[in-house]
Amino acid sequence: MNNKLACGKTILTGNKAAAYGFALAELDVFGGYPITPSTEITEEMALLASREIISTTYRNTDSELASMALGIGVATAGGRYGTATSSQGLALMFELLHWATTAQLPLVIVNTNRSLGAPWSIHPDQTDSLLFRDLFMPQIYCTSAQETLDMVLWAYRLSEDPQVNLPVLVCLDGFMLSHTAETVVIPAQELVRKFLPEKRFRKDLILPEFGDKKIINLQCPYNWEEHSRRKRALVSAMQSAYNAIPEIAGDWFNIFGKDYDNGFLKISGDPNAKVVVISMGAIIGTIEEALAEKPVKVIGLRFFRPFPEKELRNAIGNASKIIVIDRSILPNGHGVIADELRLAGGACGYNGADIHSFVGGFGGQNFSEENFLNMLSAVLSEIGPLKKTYWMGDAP
Amino acid sequence: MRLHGLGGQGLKSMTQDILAPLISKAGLEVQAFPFFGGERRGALVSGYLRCGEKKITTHSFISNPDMVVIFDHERISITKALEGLKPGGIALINTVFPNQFLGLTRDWQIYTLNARAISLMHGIGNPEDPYMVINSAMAGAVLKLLEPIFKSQLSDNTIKAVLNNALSQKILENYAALLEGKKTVVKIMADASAMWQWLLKRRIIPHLTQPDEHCTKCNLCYLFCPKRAIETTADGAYIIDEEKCNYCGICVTLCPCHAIVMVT
Repeated sequence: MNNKLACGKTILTGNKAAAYGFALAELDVFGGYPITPSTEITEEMALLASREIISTTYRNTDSELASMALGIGVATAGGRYGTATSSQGLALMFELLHWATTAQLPLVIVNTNRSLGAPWSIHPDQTDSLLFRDLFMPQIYCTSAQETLDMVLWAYRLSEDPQVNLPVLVCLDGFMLSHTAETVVIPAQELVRKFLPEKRFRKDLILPEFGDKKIINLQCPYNWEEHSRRKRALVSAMQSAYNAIPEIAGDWFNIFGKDYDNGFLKISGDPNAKVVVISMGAIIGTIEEALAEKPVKVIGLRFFRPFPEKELRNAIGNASKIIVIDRSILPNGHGVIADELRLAGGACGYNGADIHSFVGGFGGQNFSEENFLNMLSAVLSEIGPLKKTYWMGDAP
Repeated sequence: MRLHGLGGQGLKSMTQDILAPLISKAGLEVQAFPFFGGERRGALVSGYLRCGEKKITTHSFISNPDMVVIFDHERISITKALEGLKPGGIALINTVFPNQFLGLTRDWQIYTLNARAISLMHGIGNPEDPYMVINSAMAGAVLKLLEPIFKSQLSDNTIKAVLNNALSQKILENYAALLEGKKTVVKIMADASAMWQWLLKRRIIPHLTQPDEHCTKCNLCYLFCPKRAIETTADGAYIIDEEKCNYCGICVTLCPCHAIVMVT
């Protein structure tokens, strides 16, 4: 049992915070194949494991694909597995990631967001993880180093929920969060154990004992009826994840005293504002700071999958303008969150409000407070965008 | 605060592993992050550091800093590095020749130190290496400049503990370099230069004593003499050529044993 981990207030980068999240989750195995900008996570895990500060088995793998294969093995055998990657690495995982989701194997992947090539870039946007929005895999986006640590623990709790059993992706923005040193409070191991109990075996996945005559095949070919039963099970697992999140947030509050509200959203600013800004990831903090004095409500999506449709409706209330800032782009020319909102709201608006969509931040484009103020004044003065997508930094 | 350095000089570890924990221990909220161009030695690296009493949530670059730190003014463009620095803001420059920045004192407060010499003096880094690690001396200077805003002063033990966490070797050497950086950072003033001009006009010309028996032949004065005025004789002693010497005083500042003295 690992109780040699120091706890309390300290300074950690987003990457190290994620590694401490893994350490506190008391993994059985961590598979490492380092890639910029998530390298530090793998390095820190290797360090903690080699110094026997944690009792996790650390394995260098041949590639990201191999680290997913290892994860599938560990999760099938009932172990707790984690790995970290970025952009091209996550893309390389895709085949086995799909397998792990559809086989309903609980494990956690931390993805340090980085632009997915071409062109080659080490800097962040969110196109890499949002590419996987069609998988049955909850996606969490963090806004600070502290949240990264907390969300890794949430991810295991959600992933191993008996009604869910799905891989969970925790995303933090490369460099903006991954390399930013901030104040982080590392929770005590005893409290974490209360929040995240030891992993329970799934009844339908109990493996035969070594030497047992009975051989079973867990993922053998099935007829279409069984296949479609499994697909339905995935949909209900995703629904269960939706239901489990507020409960996890409540437990977190009871044990650690930190209030994440219902878990889905990070809401700040003027509660009665007529203008709502929606975005995701590390830029939430910048937006909050930039628009602190303005009559604006800022909503950060903590969970992108399952998409918090109902919670968003409540949070938006009777606002008349929604500004969405996306750091991703779809072939139809819109950002992913804006598209998702339009889809959920039917055609153009959402909750009766107009959606003003902005995209940008690709390949590490920096958003300053001024960018957001310009954006807001363009929208407020009505000369700005209506129902179409604008690129951040362009004059409206 | 915005920092400009070159890959290998230790800018990233200084901001994240030394300054950030120390500032946090001094009672302030802190956030620090680097930005890399190319991931290699000698490539431009910048660092950003925010600190204050308010919780920091923003995650953007800093375009109008209160303070700029420059690790190398020869390979980094000073004009670019100082871009956006608020009027009256502080610029801290690692340099051997402080007086070349006198022109900047009109708009900003300019502080300098010779971090390279300090590091070498304490046995850190290789003098042949153009991207030598100089971060502990720089950290000392930054701490000195931030001291007025600290809520509680840092004890020597706190600094040692943080260095112990941040470094894998040469902890005592780095600690000594940090203290030396703290001690030797100086503000350069246009007024001082005026005094210098006046001194020259009055022909009260200073002169240097030749290295005395305290000299350990560490070679620092020879390495850093901008005029190549220091030579070695056949038996290894150092001699200052009074004709080449321009009395810049670098050897006097550098000499760890005070073997050279400036007499006015």
